[in-house]
Amino acid sequence: MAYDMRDFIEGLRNAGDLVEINDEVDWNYEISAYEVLSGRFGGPAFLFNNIKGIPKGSRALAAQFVGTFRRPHKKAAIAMGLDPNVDRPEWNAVLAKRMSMMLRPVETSTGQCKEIVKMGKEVNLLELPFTYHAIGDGGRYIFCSAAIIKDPDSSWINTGNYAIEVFSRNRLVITPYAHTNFLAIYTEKYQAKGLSMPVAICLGGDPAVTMAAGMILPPGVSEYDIAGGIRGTPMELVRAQTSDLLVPANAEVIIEGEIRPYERLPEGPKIEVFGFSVGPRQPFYPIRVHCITQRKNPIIWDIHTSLGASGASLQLSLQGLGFTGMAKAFGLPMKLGGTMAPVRSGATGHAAVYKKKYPEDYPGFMQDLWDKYLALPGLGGVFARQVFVDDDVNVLDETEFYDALFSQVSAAKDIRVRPPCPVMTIESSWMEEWDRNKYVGPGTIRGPKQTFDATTKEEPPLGVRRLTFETVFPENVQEWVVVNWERLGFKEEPLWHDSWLKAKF
Amino acid sequence: MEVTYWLYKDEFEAHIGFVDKKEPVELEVMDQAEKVWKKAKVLLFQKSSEGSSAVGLLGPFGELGDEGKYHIKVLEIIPSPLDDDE
Repeated sequence: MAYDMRDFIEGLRNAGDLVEINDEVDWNYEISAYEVLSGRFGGPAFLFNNIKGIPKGSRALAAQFVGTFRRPHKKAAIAMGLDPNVDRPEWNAVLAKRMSMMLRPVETSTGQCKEIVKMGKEVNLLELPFTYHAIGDGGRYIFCSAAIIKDPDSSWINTGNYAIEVFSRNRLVITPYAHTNFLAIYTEKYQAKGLSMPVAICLGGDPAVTMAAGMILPPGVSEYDIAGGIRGTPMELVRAQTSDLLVPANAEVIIEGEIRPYERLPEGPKIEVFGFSVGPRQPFYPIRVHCITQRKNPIIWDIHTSLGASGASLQLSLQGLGFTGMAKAFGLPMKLGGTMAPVRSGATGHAAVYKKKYPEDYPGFMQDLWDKYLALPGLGGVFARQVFVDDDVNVLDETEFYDALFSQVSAAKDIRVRPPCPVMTIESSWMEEWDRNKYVGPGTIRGPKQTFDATTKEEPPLGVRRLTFETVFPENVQEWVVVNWERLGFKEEPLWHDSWLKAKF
Repeated sequence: MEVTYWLYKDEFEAHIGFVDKKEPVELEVMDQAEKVWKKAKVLLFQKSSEGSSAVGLLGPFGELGDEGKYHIKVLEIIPSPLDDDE
């Protein structure tokens, strides 16, 4: 039987990373409060079995991806059958390798997600334990899902993880981002043809699907194929009840509906997956919900998006991997195409991208980096600020990152500002008041982009010599200190920098 | 202060002239127990009065303010046309 969310829960339990709570909790703030507190110390996940005002049997899982600063992937590794103590370079390397071995999904005749089918008037989204996350949110939000759509002109199925507001008992409002395939497919194809777009929202199932949905991948690449690759076995899909979309057979809940051309409903404000409040209330795409299929006693998983909570951990663990694949597809010789680190959330506009050490790999390499990297479909929209550093800078270490930024960037030559283009919804916070009514909705929020070249331009004595443990002590001294480290009673791992720098992916 | 409803600040400010006028206005209200916006016919008050409930005002970026400064009496929740279709 295929791996599903309940297997993941057992994995968390076996790892001592799950707390099951049978006392009544409220979907209104309380579930999220548990997650945020857990996020402060890389704490446990919670399975809530008794939720106020929700029909008995429906449950909620929270903090299931909460990790630590050094190991944001701690629980995602459990979901992938890996040791939760695997370090970050190895996590990236293993995932990147698995992603490259894409596996096509297989279609099955039925699945657990069809155990209960509710149609038409039976549909009531408010019976499911969707949580209200934070003071100031414009409603209850779904932050952990895979929104499934299909290109009308090909067999390409796209899934993505978006912020989705529970608007009423039969309406969701989805907020795709400026750079996403969802936006391109809907606005450029269905809407242009005057057609409704079928949508299915998958909750639960194999975590690999939701994890792949959170990566930014090039057009034409199906997240189902990526999920199959990282799981090592094809995803099992079943035909949706009201459309020809293929959905994960072992999902906890599938919400089926349609988005009609030019139809909009107000959405927001909300905390975003980047840990900021995003507004103002904007017209976004309503999903008319026609059908809900689900397992018996479904478990809704939730993520909170503040600092340290599951949203941040998931981003740090996964999102850069999609960029890596894209950058490599463009032939850029990078060890790691892009990463959110050290800034917690790259989607607010920060990225760190490796270049090989001085000198350039080839004449014009940096220009290629500017042009190709910034032109990539995902990155072109998602990052408003990008920082390029050498590949011997450990971007997981804020000290090293900022050292490069402050020591290698000439204000006269190394900062570039590009003309406005579509940016993330987070940028709406910086809009001038008078622009807010003009620039609302996906793809219409525009902002300039800045790039910082923090790579080494000159070798010493003209350039700045980087001073680190590895460069300021003789090798035999380094080795002596490291070998004696544990004997002297220190518990920290002194070589985690080293493992990052040596990683190949 | 605990409040029963939230109103959108911009919508409330557009109707501030109706405070204490006993003339109903249509605003979107969010019942804090339900966390779903609904259109309602309400009376606006500066101070608590019989049958009224305290409100908070929600700003454009989720900033909540003026909690308990104003009160509303919900006369009628206006059915949404969305509720009827399938």
